[in-house]
Amino acid sequence: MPRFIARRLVATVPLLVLISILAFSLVLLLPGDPALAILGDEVANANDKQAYYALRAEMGLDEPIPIQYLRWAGKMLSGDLGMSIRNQTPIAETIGAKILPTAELALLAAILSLLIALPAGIISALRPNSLADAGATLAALSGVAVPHFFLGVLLIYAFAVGLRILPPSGYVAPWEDLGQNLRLMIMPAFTVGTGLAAILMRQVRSALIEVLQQEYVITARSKGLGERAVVIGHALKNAAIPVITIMGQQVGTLIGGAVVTETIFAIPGMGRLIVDSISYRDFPVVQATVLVLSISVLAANLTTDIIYGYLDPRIRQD
Amino acid sequence: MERSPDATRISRRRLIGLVAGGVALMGLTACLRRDVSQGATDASKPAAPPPAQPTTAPAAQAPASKPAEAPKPADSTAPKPAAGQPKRGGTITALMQNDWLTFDVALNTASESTHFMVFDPLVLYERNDNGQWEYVPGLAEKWELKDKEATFWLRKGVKFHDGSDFNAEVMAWNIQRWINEPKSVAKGSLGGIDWKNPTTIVDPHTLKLNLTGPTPGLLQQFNDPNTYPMSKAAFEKMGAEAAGAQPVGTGPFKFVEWKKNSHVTIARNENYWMKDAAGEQLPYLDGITYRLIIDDSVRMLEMKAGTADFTELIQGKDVADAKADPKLSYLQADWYGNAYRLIFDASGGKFYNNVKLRQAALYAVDHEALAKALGAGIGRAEKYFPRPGSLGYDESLPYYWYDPAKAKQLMAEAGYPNGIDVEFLVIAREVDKLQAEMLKSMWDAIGLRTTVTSMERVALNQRLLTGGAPYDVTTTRGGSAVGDPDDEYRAHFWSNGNFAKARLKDPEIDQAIDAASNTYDTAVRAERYKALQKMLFEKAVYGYLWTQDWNWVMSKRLQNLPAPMGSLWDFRKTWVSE
Repeated sequence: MPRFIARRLVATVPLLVLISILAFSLVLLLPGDPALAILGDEVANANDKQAYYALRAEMGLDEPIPIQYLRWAGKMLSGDLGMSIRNQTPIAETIGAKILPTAELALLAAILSLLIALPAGIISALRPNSLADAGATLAALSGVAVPHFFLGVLLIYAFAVGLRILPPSGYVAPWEDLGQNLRLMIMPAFTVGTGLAAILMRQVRSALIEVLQQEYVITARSKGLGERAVVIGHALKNAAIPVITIMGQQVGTLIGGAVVTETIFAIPGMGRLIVDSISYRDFPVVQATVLVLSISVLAANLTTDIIYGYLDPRIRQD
Repeated sequence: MERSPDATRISRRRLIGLVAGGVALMGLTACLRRDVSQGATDASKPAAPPPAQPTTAPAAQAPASKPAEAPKPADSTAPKPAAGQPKRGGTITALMQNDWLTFDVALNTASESTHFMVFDPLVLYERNDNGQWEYVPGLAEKWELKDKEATFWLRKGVKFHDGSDFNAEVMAWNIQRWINEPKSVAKGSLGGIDWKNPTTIVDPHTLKLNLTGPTPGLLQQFNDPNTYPMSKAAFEKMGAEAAGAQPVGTGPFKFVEWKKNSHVTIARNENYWMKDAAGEQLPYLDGITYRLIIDDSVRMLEMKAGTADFTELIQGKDVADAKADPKLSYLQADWYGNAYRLIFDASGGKFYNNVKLRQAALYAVDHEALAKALGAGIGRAEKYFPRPGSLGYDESLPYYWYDPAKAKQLMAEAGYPNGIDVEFLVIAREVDKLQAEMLKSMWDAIGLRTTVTSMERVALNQRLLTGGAPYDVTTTRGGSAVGDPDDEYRAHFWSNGNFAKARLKDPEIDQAIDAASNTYDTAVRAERYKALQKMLFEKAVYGYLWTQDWNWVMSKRLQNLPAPMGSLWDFRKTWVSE
């Protein structure tokens, strides 16, 4: 197992280099001058353009791009993510403050999606083509089809304006007030989690139907094991591998979904940070954020690989 | 092998158990329930202030310029300023649409509502009982404007939140900094001042500004959020960065906390210089929390849920809902709004050097259809560049209005009886794109075959403003308010204007703009602005399409809130009724 993990770690290094080049260069391809975006049209085009040229020099935009990359990569390696041009704060500090709400949202959404998908998927698999299966499938398709912004607003209307049992939007850190944190996060987590729950539910269903037809399951039943022990103890573990694959792949989607959801629910997270930074052409923040998120996705994929290896020893031998 | 039907059967008890799991999740919500009206930022609620202390009453006002007359509110269910007994204490929550960047007004004033409560301007701009907007004393008790100098008599006894004095020396230091700071945006608000020798300190509370000529927009400039003075002592002690993050002003509320992308909290300044008519210390409120909520619909839902007290710019579709809600008041302004305008490139492109073609395009525009469809109940069709009520606004002046027959005739006279292909550049914003599609259908109908190209805002503005490549036609959106129109004319039509997307390098227009602002005589200025508008009508490089009125929604528990000028919400004299 350690060798397996080490192999996977080494394989991520060239990927990281590639990602760093892409993170740096892709933002430079965005049309529009960042100095113009930050200063605003009127100031940037003021008669003397002094503020405009001062800002371009400060951003290092007057240097050749390869030099800009090398300087940036060197700083990244030393752990210096630089300063935000827009609000003159250290980027590491900004990302540090934003990553927790996003991570919490993604984690809660993942937990919620599993809580929905596992029972629904098992019921559907145990009674395929039944009314329960049809109901769960319909709910799953609705979960995928309803856009986040619509579901989010609908939830606020129902639970905050109508029933008044939840606050409409905002964020409080869990260590400041855990109860309020959960009250504020339950609707966003549900908004992000429903789409994932739908995908997972369908995956659990199809994987379990397949596994339940395997001979070892029949053997287990013939030995007189109860249905709970057969499904939970024997079938579900093998059915979990494709489910974990989907979970690993959905980390990026969870973060992508967080962009819209964070805006609707006024959560100060990474999604909002990226969108705002792109709008204002705050290149250092965009570059650092893309890098950090890419590393997060790589880490999620690595974790998925390791869990594979644990669940199926054959994978470790590859 | 066939599976026994019993093998996959799930008992009712198990099914109930699974369903109960889902219900338990909802139950968790209910268990955690508590008073949601506390909102998300209770932890940062400001502490109650100590008892009021006396300060010097403001001197009688002496406005030096004639205020512009403004029409009555377009549509309002908002209560008039309450005549009841003011109540001291309580906090309110206001919802912001845009994020804060800094509190250093020299650099940026994004989300200026908060700045307006932490700082004070030299001159306040208020709407009186007759619906007129007028300049009244702020940090300056009175002023005198002359051709080459302006004198401001500053209020005595005013202190910044750090305890340092506000005086002529501090004000002069602020002005010097706004001029000398390389990234200053405040310079844009210092036109007419001699930047090489801007100030002369007459005595500790009298400051003379040295002017390059008559500057009738000066009072407006010193009402602008870019010219709120900050504490020199705090700046020197904290440094520029900290001063921009923890502002120290003279305003009615002191800065408490700024949580980026989330909220700003301010608490009552117990030593504020302003008093009410009865001589009582202002402000009444203990504090304000400004929360950032970008989504328009969610801001409205927060208001309906009773978790916020004030917000602005709700969508037209939500207006009826806001008016119908018994807990909310709605206010809509025709003194301030977002104006949508059409611009032709006056330096190149298909419309260049062909006034009849431009006129054809302008006569093909159905302003009322645009206002109705895009304004969703809060749009108004526009005939003129200045806002109704602004200096020089005159309904007898000529204007372009929907006349498709005349437009077709002009197409033929312009040399294009069989039509012409043009490119229409627009910002990739929802309203701009919808507007472009409507304009395209109007123009296509007269043979102006239009291809709409939408671009991201920054990219398009770069192409139009700093780029030199010619274009055919574009649209723009910008704030439009009653008041002195010099800034707006200059920005759009002056050769070196900051917003000169039309690239109108026309000495005749430049001269007309300069002439309209080189005297303090408002009657003369009004006539000159009328002449300028006639010239612009003849040049036909701009189309004034429609304006979306600014609007506000507030909780009925807010009392005595004056009419806001855009995002400058003045809670100095506001109290809460419960």
